Amino acid sequence: MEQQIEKVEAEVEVEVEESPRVQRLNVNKVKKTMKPLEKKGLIFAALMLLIPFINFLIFWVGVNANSIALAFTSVDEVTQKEVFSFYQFEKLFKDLSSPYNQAGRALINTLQYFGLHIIKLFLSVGIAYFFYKKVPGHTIYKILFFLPAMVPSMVYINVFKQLVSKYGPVYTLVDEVFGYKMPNLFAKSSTASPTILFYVLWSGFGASLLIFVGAMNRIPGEVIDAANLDGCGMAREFAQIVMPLIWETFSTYLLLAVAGLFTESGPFLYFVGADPNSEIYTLSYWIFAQVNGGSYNYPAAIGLFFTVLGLPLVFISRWLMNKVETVTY
Amino acid sequence: MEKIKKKKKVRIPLIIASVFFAIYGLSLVIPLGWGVIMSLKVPDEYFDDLLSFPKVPQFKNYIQAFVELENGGNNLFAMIWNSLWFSLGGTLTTVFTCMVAGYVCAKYKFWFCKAWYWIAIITMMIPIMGSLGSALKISMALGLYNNPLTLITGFSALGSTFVISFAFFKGVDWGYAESAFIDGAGHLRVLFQIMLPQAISPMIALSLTIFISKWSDAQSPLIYLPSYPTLASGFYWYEKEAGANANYPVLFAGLFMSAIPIIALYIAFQDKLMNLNMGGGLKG
Repeated sequence: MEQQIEKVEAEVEVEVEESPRVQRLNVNKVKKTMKPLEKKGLIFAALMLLIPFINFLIFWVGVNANSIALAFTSVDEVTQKEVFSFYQFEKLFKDLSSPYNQAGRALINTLQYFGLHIIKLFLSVGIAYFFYKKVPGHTIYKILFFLPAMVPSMVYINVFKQLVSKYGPVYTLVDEVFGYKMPNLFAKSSTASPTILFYVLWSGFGASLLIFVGAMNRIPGEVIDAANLDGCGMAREFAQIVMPLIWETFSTYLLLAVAGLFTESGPFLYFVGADPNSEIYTLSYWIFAQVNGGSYNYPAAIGLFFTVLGLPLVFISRWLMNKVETVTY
Repeated sequence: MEKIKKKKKVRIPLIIASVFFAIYGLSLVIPLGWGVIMSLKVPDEYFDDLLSFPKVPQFKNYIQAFVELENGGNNLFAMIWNSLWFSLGGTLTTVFTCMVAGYVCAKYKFWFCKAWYWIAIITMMIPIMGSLGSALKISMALGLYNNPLTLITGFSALGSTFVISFAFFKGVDWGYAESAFIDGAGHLRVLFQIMLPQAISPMIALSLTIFISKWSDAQSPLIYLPSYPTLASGFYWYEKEAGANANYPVLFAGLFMSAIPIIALYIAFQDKLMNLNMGGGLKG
């Protein structure tokens, strides 16, 4: 031990005696021995990100740049050639100002689905709290509530569609109990839209519910015990202890919901198909139906317009959510 | 006595919630049960009375589904095969790329890793709409349209899968890697033999969620793979083309069979699903 101390002291003395030039040389020596390892690490990191980067350049940058180009392109009636123009945007503003237009209708539908998404998020966190408090039967409920996320949507939608169809089981029951003959819910947009909204609400808590339960389970038990000893009730515990402690997880979901405002969609394909002229679609599904029908330029313009419109919303929401102090534990 | 009263106060909301949950839970199970019963009927019986049990359960509907549920020359076997490679390929490419990128960005101090993290966050926060037409055109130009090679689009390392992977590797101790480097291991070996095996749990959870969504995705195969109908897009086409003449008992039989792989996967890995955590990654 003493020998080691002496050795270290000797090294310190040598270092003190060394001139600044020698010291600089030593630093260079150290750098030289570090360099190969760092270089290898950097090359490795760069190589690992190379394929995703190429993919990003083609399928994100390239696709979106081309989409912007499509939005500013229309076919010249005389030459039948594609030319730069604002025609798609002129059409969009004309459509939005008309009371009977599909884009405007799709925007209203999108906002409805967005509202429902937010309601479902709050419902999910509420239900998750009851699971966290071990509501009687919570193990079986967790499996049951996850069923719609687990069973392919095509199964649930087809079964639901047949259940509420004309002369179906729901029709028969309503007729026998209330004497009311239900119309064909999918024949008119005025009934089809609320029916699909109901289906979305009924069928969907899924993964977010599990993640909220997981986040709550990570809350230290002592915090809850201390609150209970102080006479804290369930409502207060949820609002003032659990929510702040899972705020990071919850706000992430909230932020993603706001970011995806204009991309909100519903399970329209199995319910009503992909008719480009339907009035019940959201913007996102309307774009899908248009592209499926062979129209590319107008959907690109609509997409670009609503993406730009959504930008401030995202940044304001992020700023607001970051204002809430995060509790770390 | 007071203690007992307090306990009762807490219990009552839980019991009320339990009753509501039971009603809601039943509403989710009963339709599936009804569907299974309907899949065992003959077509006439199905249309005559949608509330009764079958007189003689027609288990042969589950065999007939393999013949009758056909789309553009693709029978149920072909659709199952298409669903398998589409879902499995899409899942493996996405999860593997995101895991590797998540690890590299979380552990290597390199400006490009930081830049990639922000690219992932920004593309998630600003989802650009309306680019489907453009994506289709580029897909056609690259020869990926109507081609299983379209799966290469999965090598993207963006989105929530990347954020979850990044958050996971941020929490993994770098000491394991340092010890391996001292023992002479290279970066690739550290990644494959030390880091990725530690991430098995989130990898399974992510794979399961992505696989389920791909299995149910009818829109992407409809747009990009018209000649390769998956179960999701194939059933849509069958119902659309058959219209009122669709054999619903057989369709239900096919639909329920298509759910079996997903349910089996869920049963096998249900505990892993609970471990998904975004780690507040979007807040930067």
